[in-house]
Amino acid sequence: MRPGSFGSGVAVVAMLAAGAALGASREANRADPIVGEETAVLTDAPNVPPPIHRNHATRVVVHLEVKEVEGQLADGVRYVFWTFGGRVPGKFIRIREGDEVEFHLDNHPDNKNPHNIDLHAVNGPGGGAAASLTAPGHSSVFSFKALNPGLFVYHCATAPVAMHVGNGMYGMILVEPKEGLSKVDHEYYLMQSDFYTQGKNGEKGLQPFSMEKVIDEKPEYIVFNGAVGSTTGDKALTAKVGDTVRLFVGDGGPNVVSSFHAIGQIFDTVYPEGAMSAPTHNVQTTTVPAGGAAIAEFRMSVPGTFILVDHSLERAFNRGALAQLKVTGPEDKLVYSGKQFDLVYQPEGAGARAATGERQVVLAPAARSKEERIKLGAEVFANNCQACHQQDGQGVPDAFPPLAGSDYLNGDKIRAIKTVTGGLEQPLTVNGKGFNGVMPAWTLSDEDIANVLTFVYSKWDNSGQEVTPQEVKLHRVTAGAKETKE
Amino acid sequence: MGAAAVFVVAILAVASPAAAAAGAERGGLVTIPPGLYTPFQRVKAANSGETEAQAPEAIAAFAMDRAPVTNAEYLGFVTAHPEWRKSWTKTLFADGRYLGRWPADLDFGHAEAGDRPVTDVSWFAARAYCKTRGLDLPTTAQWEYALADAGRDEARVRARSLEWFSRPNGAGPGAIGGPVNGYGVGNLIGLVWEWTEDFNAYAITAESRDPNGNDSAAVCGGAAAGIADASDYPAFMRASMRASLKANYTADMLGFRCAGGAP
Ligand code: HEC
Ligand SMILES: [Cu+2]
Repeated sequence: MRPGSFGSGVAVVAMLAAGAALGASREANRADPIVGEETAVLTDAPNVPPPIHRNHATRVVVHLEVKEVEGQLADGVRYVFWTFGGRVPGKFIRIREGDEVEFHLDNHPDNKNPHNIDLHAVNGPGGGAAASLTAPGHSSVFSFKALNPGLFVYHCATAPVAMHVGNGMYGMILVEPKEGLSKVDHEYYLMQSDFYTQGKNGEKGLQPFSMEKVIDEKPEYIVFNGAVGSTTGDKALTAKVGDTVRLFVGDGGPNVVSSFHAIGQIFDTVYPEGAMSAPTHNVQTTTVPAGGAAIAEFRMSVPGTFILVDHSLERAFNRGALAQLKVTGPEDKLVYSGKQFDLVYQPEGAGARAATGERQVVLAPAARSKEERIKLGAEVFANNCQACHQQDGQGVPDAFPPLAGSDYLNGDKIRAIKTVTGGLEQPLTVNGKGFNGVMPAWTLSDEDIANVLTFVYSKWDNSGQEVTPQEVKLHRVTAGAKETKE
Repeated sequence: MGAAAVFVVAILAVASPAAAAAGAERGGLVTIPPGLYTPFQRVKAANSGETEAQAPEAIAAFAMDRAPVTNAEYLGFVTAHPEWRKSWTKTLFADGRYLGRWPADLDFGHAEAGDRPVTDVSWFAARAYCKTRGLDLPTTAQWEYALADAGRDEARVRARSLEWFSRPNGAGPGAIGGPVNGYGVGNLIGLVWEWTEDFNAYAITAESRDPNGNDSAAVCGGAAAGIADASDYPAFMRASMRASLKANYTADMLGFRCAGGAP
């Protein structure tokens, strides 16, 4: 991320739209003489090292340290990650085409396992993997010349590969074209990947890797930047109205391909697959293959919270593949009006429908006191509600209503039970603001619903009342359908 | 000089009973019956270039330590063989981290470390230790055969291995002991990686994903076509670990045990 100023918005759009093939030929890059030496600046996501202003090739020394560390995968869910640099995704590396990279792969002595690295930016057997298998407490060195510009994934390729990658061993290397990239106000690093835990999504505690699930390609989590909620709330990406933003998007896999999309923001320019030769324009959703990348550039025209998702939506709302970009600044009612009319539309046969899907069979532990109910409810909230209503309960203007201080919620407990169990897709007014979205019916147990509502009532200056499973059972909208399931 | 000699004697006096106790506890050598072992790595057939499962290898009866060699036992060894003390050993035979957890030449630190596996030993050092007992390191085939345990409890062994790989090293390995497998061998997984005599025999290349490369049938990772059992992740992990080693390397979680012909 770095600031840089640009004249007018019009000029920016013109510049982005003009993006043309970038980069020199492989032969030219091979022959490019090396002048000087520098140590690479490495950054953790979502940050990106500063642009390169050199006009010659140089020798870049990269020290990348492999570390096996325990960390958080989701709220209350711990996982032992294998990392390039201590975090998932691995450090972002930025070099220029023609550069000669002296690569040191350092395997920390506290690690238990051997590791190597395959950089997709390398032309050579295994992308460096053949030269870099490294025992714990040792270090491997190899060199390569950056012949092709582009945004590339790197990853561990030690057998069994799916376990090393499944534990978090990937990152990105940008080989800047000679011309450099256009100047933007913000650059961010976002990498999607899938995780395979033995416990089901949301199950607490230290979760071991599941070999069976990775082989079946059945991830429990699909996330951006290594954890559910890594890039939301106060960790969201930020920009101002009028800013240009460049996202370096990668997909570490090991298995799942991303349909990368920003809700409410069209990409002005995309470099598909991270290739510099053929930028495309005015893109809604771009595919990011596992082991591949894309660069998306756009200018923010209105304020708001823009949600970045894998548009294979189950992954976004149920498995974690959701990030946020918060944009501040003045409204532009010409570009986006906000809600103008609030009309009732009732086609025949419409009404709340229970979201189909399997009924949860895992029984939640029963709360024995209101405090316990609140505690357990906090987890239900983090796993099911936070994605839309936000961690601070404030919701998202014009999309998801607030639960914090909501008159709708506090006014009627029974209505709240009916709302959550039956879903809601009618225009409603919360604290004087109109909403007309869709909330699916929640197929959670009586206990979970009681806990989450008690939690919500206990927070953010809400009324503090308790909801019991008995009350939920009595008032739940879709009870009939559910009791017969088992 | 004189002081050093006294020091050695003092250590011996203390260490010997400890070593003996640990040795008694682990019960020394276990005899493993003969049988067939099929290496999990596939080989490239000479005529077709296709990979195929290796022919089963006949394993003669052999003897193997019930548990990895402990710090207390290793102290006995370096006491008798000064050339293997940490300050004496050349990096040609053991890299700079040799006996890294030991505070001094004849001191393995806390008393509890006595019955924990010795780690940070090179292949040269491990071998020298076994030679003094008239033994060798087990071959990779012998070690894997002992672990395979004639197929007993396979799923649990795999699950426990995966669990162990995912646990960061922290304070180092725990003490030897606990349950043994059907052959009577214990602690093959869950405490340390172990040296084998021919650790580098299969490790011709580190590139793991090409099933048809000249020399890569050894540890072909991503390519299921190349593997006897592509879902045996722990077998890959052990093969990769061996492939990453050189004979003078030492590592924090790398120990060894000895083996020899059947008594
Ligand atoms: C997929 C996004 C989404 C998720 C996840 C979600 N909601 Fe909602 N929720 C909505 C929308 C949209 C509305 C407004 C529906 C409308 O306009 O008809 C709403 C309305 C509500 C309301 C009534 C309005 C208010 O602000 O008081 C409550 C209460 C509520 N949700 C609670 C929950 C709870 C509890 C959960 C978790 C079990 C949850 N929601 C999960 C989208 C979501
Ligand atoms: Cu690895």
